[in-house]
Amino acid sequence: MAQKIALYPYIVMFLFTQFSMSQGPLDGFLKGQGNIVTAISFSHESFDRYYVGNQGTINRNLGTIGTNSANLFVAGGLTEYLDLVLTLPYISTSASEGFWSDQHDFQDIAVYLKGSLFKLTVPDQSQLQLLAAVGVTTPLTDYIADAPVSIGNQSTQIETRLIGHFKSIKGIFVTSQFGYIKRNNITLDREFEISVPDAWDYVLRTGGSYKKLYVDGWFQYQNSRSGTDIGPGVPFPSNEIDYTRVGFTLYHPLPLMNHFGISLGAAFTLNGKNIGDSNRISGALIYEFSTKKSAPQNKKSS
Amino acid sequence: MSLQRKKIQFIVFVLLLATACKEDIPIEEALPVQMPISQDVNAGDWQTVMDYDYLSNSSIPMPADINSATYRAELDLLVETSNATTVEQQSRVDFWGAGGVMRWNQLLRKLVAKYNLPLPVGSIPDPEKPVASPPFAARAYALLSVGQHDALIAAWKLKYSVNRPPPDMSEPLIKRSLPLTNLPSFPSEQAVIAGVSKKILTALFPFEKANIESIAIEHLNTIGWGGTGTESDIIAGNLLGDEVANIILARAKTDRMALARDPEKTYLDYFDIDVATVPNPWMSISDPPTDPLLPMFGRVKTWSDSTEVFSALPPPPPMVGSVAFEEDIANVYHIAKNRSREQWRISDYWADGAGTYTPPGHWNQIAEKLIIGSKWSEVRTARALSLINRAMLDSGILCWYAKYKYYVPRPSQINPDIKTSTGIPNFPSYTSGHSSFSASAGTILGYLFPDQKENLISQYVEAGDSRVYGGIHYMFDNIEGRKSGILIGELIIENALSDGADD
Repeated sequence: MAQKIALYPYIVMFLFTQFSMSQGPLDGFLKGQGNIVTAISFSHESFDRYYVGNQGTINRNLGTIGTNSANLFVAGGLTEYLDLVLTLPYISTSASEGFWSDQHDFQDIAVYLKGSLFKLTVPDQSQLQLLAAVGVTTPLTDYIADAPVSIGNQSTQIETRLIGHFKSIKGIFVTSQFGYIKRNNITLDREFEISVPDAWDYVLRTGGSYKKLYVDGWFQYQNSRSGTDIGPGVPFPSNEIDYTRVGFTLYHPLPLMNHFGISLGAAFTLNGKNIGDSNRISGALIYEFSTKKSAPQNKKSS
Repeated sequence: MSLQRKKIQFIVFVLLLATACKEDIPIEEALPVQMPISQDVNAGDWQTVMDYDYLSNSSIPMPADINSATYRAELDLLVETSNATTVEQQSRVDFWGAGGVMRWNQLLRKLVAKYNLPLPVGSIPDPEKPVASPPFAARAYALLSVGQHDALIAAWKLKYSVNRPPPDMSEPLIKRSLPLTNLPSFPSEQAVIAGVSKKILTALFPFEKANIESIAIEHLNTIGWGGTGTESDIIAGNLLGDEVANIILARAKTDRMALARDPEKTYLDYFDIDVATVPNPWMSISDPPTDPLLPMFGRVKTWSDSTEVFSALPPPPPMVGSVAFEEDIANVYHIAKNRSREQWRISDYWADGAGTYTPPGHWNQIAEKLIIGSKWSEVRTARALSLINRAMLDSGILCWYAKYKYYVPRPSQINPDIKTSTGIPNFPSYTSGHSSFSASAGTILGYLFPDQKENLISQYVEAGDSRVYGGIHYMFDNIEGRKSGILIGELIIENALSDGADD
């Protein structure tokens, strides 16, 4: 049983606000047909310093922007080669100073398909795998997109990713993913259409996946291809958002409770453009199971 | 390789293609080329806003006879120019063919949006780069519109006294690429519009001089490219526009706008505000506290008779702490606590804050949609804009006077739990500028477009309500602002009824 848990590590930290996007819900592991992972995660993130263009700024009329979110995560193997991943966050954000209204609502539902393109097993049983993923993210509610305190940008986006995944026989892995996020135009309450910049996204993740522990550290760089700087009267969703972040994740199965585990994570912003200089902690409760009658075999495809 | 993997590869390929598509948003607003129903032959007799005889004081040379060799040479030149028009030039002819008055009004709106940015705290404004706040913008829109209006009335008078036919009637080889009109061509009305607009906008935004000049040159060039005016038509029009602008700008120099910013805070004496003794005076609630916006704007010269304008001054508001006040602020608090998405949308839609056309500009945009559909002559279009923009300036002046006379705190100053869906303007609350500007412009537009009256009323009511929904105004700010806006609108209409345009 412990063996089984080690087969399904995953990442469960998300935060999608005006100022921050997650490092992505996709990892390099495939679940295997019929195996399903669900997670409820909670995270807290805050910043009092943000970047206007590249310039760090403190705004005493906003104070500290604090964001709490709860996220539902489901990932399951449709086949041995193809996973479906779904995320659904509820976000609440507020400013400690000034008079802007708080915001809270369900944000954007995201659905991804992630599949294996090819896999290579080298003589010592290490594996090298190339995966591709496509995803659609779309707002679930009519939340406010264009305010200093908001939970998202209302843009429906399509993203494509290529994921290279190396796993050694000793459980060490390295995952490198490169994605392009295409963001659709939105229409503001002011009744004009604006462009939400597309972005390139790169994530490098490395760690170890063992019987009773999963640990990783990651680096993420996201760069919008164009866009505006934060400024008076400039629609926020049109901002060029770039950032570099690092973080880590720990996962441990719960003792005495089969199928359950907990994870803990943190993320730190190193620098950015038109984004909050935020740090984040998160925790999650994970439940995983298989729709197959018998426990899955120790699959090579994991 | 399995079939499934091939499928996955195919899906990835299709999605990569899909993400490569680009969504373009046009930079310039496409408008139809205008074909006026009437040329307003008698517009030369309409009353100008300034009590000034532009033509008697003009230095425009009288035009050559259409049978003269001089004019023949001009026609020959125009045959050449109009037949050599490139596709790119033709697209500019069509752009300006939508109406010079409206295109310059759009340009001013863009300039206002560009300059409508708060100054960094503690910095001194650069006269070359004004802050195009709503009061500044209201005055700017009025100056441009009055200039265009008076210049076109003078142009019409001259057109129908000289009666030079359109050039392609004298020389059929001239290629006219805009709809044929029987409007006399001397002086070119488009050149008049370019001349007056360029001069007024340059005076308002000196830093934009080169940009504005190149736009004016393009406008003038389209007259030749489109085959609608000869060189003497253009020179005379441009000169007349320039002369009218001089008269308008001379008035602007002495309208006391220069005193409105009032860094020495003379307004405290003028309005007899003793912050130490007045109970609950307005205070800046931004951090750090900032001087209020243009405290002496209420003293700027009005376009209508100032006694009549100030007869619409709103009464004193309920005192902070009175029952009426407590009921009103409880309403603002209730809205802020339970603000619906629709109320938020309305507060956003009408906010017209930093980086936008401002509320007066928004109403120019509303007017534009109505005017474009009505196929008016340039001079009638200019009259409509002159009416709404004078009304908005006068009601804005009255509103600003009330703001400093009564010095009422914003709702969030009294109750910091009132959270807003829009920025809190850094000046007193009573009366609402949005309500004043909107009701005055909407009232005028209701007179100009009677079949749209109900719709316009609901729009100006919504514009005023939007500030209460936003949590930044009391309902009494809104109601009294609206009332005085309507009164100013009616005052301007009363004078418009006898300006000759309705005859």
